[in-house]
Amino acid sequence: MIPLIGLIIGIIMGLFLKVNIPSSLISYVPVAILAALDSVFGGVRAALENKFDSEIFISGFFGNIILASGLTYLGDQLNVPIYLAAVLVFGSRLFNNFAIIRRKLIEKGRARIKSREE
Amino acid sequence: MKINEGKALLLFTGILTGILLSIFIINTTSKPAIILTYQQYQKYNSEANELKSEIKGLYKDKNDLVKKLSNYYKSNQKNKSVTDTLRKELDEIKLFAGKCKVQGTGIMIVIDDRHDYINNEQIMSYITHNTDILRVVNELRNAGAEAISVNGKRITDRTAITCEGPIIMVNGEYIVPPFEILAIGDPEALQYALSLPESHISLLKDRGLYVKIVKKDRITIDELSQKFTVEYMKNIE
Repeated sequence: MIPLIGLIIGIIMGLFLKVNIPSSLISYVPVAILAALDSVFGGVRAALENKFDSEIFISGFFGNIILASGLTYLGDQLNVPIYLAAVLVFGSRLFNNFAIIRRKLIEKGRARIKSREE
Repeated sequence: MKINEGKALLLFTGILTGILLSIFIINTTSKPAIILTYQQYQKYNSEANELKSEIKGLYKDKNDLVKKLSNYYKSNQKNKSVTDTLRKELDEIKLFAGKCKVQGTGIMIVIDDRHDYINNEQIMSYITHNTDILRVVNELRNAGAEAISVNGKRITDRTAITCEGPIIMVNGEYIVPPFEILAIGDPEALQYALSLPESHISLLKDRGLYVKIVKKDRITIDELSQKFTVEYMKNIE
């Protein structure tokens, strides 16, 4: 829930802030967004599994963004679409994490209903 | 819901991602996706790359100009540095206009008429014409020559190479064979351009003219000796 609230707050803030991204950086932003989303979902999942470690989370968040943008840059220089690798990995992990989060939430809900019945 | 470090971090990163997302969506006008064939993709990709490199160049230009402007502002306080900046610029302009002696790597080409002609009917193809010199100069320029001179006459943007009957005129001065063309540039590139079978030099060789090309590590080209004055054109900016 918390990251979703954060996302909504962030989107609204972004709408009002109106920051201009330099056009030379514009090709790196989508991959960075994907990496960030992946980290956030990973964090939610870890929190649900009670394995959340803030240091790992923060280093993963920024590390993923930097690595993804770096890969895109490298791909631009080599004329090979390496960013596809980042898109694929982050995309599939997003779905994975989402599936696990869904399962955990449903299990939690069921456990709560069961305890109420007892 | 108690607030601990982990939850605060999740909220913070969520906000960050949201800001990034919305800024990106605002900044890019989305177009409906089209499915491209591989050829189309390659074409568009190369176009995009060209534009990207153009943007890079323009950014660099802009940075240079901003730096220059700030230099002007800075040197406004000190008159000395204004004159210094202007002098530096003048030197650069002189370099481009051929008003100073320059030195660098390049090649030397010597072209001479063919002397062993037998009959007078073919004499026209045995002598060096102004158009031959012109074409060679043009080829040198195409190959990236930065400074060119013909028999010591500097070739600039106002140079005319004309035929004056039995003699050739460059910059309003007569030159006689053998013609020694000096060019500053990449010696390999210049020689390669001249050695192509479709180059004018090859044609001259076919016509039996004496042609010699020498690569040199150090070539000195004299400045333009004439003074071209401006009478008709005016700056309207």
